[in-house]
Amino acid sequence: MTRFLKILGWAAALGVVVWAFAGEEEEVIPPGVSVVKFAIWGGVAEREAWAALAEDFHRRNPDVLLRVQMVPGQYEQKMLAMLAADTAPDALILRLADFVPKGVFEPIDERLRRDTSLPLDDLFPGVLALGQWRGKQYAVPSAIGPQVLFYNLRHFEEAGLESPNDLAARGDWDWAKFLDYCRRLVRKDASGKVVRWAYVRYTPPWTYPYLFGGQPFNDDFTAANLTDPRVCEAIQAYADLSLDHNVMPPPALQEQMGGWQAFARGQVSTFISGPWQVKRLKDMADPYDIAPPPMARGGRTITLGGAGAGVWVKSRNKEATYRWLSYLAGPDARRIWAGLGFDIPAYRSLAERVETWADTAIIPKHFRVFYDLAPDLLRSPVATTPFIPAKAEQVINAALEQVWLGRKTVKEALAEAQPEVNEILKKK
Amino acid sequence: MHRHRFERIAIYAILISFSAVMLVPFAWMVSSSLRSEAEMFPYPPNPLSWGFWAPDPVRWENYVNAWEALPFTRFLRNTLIITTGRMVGELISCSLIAFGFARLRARWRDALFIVLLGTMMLPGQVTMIPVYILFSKIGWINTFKPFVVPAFFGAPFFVFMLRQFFLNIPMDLDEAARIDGASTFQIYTRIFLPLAKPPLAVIAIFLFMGSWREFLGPLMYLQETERFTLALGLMLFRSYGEYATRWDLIMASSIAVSLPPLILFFLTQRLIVRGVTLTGIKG
Amino acid sequence: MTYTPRERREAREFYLFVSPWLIGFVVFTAGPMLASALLSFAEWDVITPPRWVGLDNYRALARDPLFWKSLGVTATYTLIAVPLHLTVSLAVAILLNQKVRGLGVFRTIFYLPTVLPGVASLMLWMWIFFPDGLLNAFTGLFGLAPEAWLADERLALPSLIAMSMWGYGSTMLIFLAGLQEIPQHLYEAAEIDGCGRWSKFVHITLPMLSPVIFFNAVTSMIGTFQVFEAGYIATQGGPNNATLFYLLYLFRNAFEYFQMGYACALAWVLFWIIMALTLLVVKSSAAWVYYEGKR
Repeated sequence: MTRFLKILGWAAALGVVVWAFAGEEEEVIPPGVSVVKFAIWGGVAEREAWAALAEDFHRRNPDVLLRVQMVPGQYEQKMLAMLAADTAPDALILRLADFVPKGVFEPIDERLRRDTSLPLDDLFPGVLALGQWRGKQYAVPSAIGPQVLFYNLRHFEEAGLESPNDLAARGDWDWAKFLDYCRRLVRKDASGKVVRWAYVRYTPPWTYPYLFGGQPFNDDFTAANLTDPRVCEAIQAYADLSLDHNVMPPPALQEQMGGWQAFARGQVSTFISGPWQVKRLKDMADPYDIAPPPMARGGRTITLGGAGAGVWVKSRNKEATYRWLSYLAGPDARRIWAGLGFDIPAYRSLAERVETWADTAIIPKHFRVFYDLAPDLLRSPVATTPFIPAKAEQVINAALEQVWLGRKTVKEALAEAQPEVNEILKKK
Repeated sequence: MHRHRFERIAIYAILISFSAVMLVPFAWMVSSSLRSEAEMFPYPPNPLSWGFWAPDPVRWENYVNAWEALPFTRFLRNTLIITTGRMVGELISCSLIAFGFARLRARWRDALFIVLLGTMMLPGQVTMIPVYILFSKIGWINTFKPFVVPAFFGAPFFVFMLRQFFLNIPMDLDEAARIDGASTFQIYTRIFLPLAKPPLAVIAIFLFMGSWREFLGPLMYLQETERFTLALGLMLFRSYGEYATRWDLIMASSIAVSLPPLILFFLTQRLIVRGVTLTGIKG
Repeated sequence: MTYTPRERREAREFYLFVSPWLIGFVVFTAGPMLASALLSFAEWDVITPPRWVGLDNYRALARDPLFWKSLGVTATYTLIAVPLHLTVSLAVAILLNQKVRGLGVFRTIFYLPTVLPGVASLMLWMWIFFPDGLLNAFTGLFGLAPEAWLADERLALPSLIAMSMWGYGSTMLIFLAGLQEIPQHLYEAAEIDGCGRWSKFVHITLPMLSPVIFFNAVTSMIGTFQVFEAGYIATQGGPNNATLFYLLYLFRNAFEYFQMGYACALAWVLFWIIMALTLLVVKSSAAWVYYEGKR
């Protein structure tokens, strides 16, 4: 009996092996249909949305079959390997700053101009620039993620603080005021240890220079201007929140507390982030609201978030691929996507009709702030599709690390990093 | 007599106390798998409180939700195909190759052995892209072939391990078999293979475990979601870089996915341990 | 030197048995390895064609402070972690080799850490080492001040070494299999001669286990030099590069800075370092490793 089972076992194993060698059957593509492969990261949360979008797209474009390839991790690494093997997907998302110079993306200026389906005039100004590199268009952005201040209403009331929205309306909401607020929001226990912080590190350090009206890079990111006094002042002010004034947790503690999680738990009174927090904060115990971030005169806030996918220069179905991207950038697709709560559509007409894509039951009272800031948004050097090469980012991060550790001032650190950064930027 | 008893109590005491330590992370993972997302990483953590360990409410739905959210049956099937194929391939090939290195002499044997070791010393990251290009050119991408076919050509780590074990088998057995007229291949099948059960069982466990949990290989070589393995599919619970990572589902599915290897280990570890060893046969 | 027909036949058999590896090596391994060696003399961003630069990569390497730093970090890590790891694994293996009831269950429990998914394990450990984590709570009981552990430049690497001890499972299993191979009659004979427990360990267990110790030492060393995940996930090489493992720096060069050629140079430098150390251990093995049936 055991002998029989053994043979059976081996036969089964052998059968499996043959199966593995033989492989699966390949799908048959009907003639006249082109296949567009689109690689994207992310997972379960977006899967339904992608399925819905792909289906809708196929209905409008029956001659195009869309294949969404999910990449559960190491997206850039996999894209690099596929590019090296000349088997890259037709549409993919990568740092324009690094990959356009390498000839990966196809410029789409012509196609965009001839495209009548996209209401480009309806877009907020500056949005198209998010998908441009050195004057040419590579992606069609149609969503924005403005960085605003989220604040805990209960904490503010208890401390008797006036609403930042009112202050901003009067032009009184600047960093000095913000610092003052922070000092009054912090709560300590008997031994002097902070038990409730005023602000957390969350938004990237780049947010602050722009809030202060500084410009760390020139307009087309060919040169760095890191030693601009306003840039240094801004980042120093941010660092000092933790180093001097003790209203923001030090980096080690920050990692443990989490950013938005700490805010949701009421362990922190404010933080700066974008529209995607709204969905996460819906179950928060305390009421919260949003306001413009504290800005100096002439300061503006930035938008974080993706520019959208680009077309691979060696794609065999460029036209069909562009149609997919155009569809994704259109108001219909944006409505579906915004409903997921990741970012907000950048079309002015959609801004008026928030109810069509947002759950009005969970949005904060001053949700409009996102759109009030939209016309003046600046693009961040570092976002989902950054505008500076990875190496430059690494150099700056290493320099700033000295600041967080309290070893150097921002001025010293950035002055040291600037020459190398400029060298890297020039190579492009 | 008394010393014996004291010894046994001491051993039990150590085993039990260390087991408790080993179970702590597992207990934490199980409790996390039953939490809702908002409760996931309590801060500040207070391990002395009951609430730290026992979620409230207990969300058994996490497991159901995790199962339904992704096609896990499909992932399981794919993982089993790859794992079985690999195990068969490696067990056969590695034992053959190790026997060659352990028992048979040739002029280049030791040099080749160093080369074998050398292949373990080059970081995989620099060969990753050339290998990908190779597999791409022969059309193996999005199939299971990159995993199963190379398994039939040996793996240095296992060959090395088996060689060490084979080297410990006394020559008397070989000589006795030769006198009886056995060929080299028969010595391999009749003497070495049976005696190699403990290391072979270890290799089987390692292979299963490794294949079950492997992430980078499946990530690079599999394109369509329906070919994904369990470890890869699990990562789909992470979204857009933390924006909507469902830690509760990750924890629940991680626990579920860890159970088969654990059960396999429990069943196989007896093969590693034998009562009386056969190498004790005196010539 | 001429060979007898018998020797020639044995050599033929050798090549026959080893042929799967030889074929696999030529088809799957040699090509990519050669490619990476050639690429180490080139500048390659993976997408555009490579450009030959001769020894430039190697020259830059010698002058690169991060190369030396990462090498130092990795060497320190390996030097401390490997002996510790071997000792812990052996100790646990011996513990699990006793004649105790329910040993199967105990072994499974002890093997648990290896089964848990790597990411979850790392998260757990990061948690323990956080400023408001379990470790500080524990040391606080003894009146010690809380430390930043993974965020402290001096403590980050020791913390990672401590964390790595958790992965004793695989090595322990191999030791366990090795312990099983030791013939019982040797111990019985020793007892008759009146040997104590320690003497049995030193004179029987260790020598009979030496082939396995050799294996675990070599593979542990090769593996630990290539440590990556802990640095990548837990500390990202920080703080201030205190945990910048060699392979992490290599990874960044290969996939983030688009300097694959330089990464290949880094890889081959590491290759020769590991090879040299391994050959040292192999040569020394003649002195302390005992094989029952070596030819």
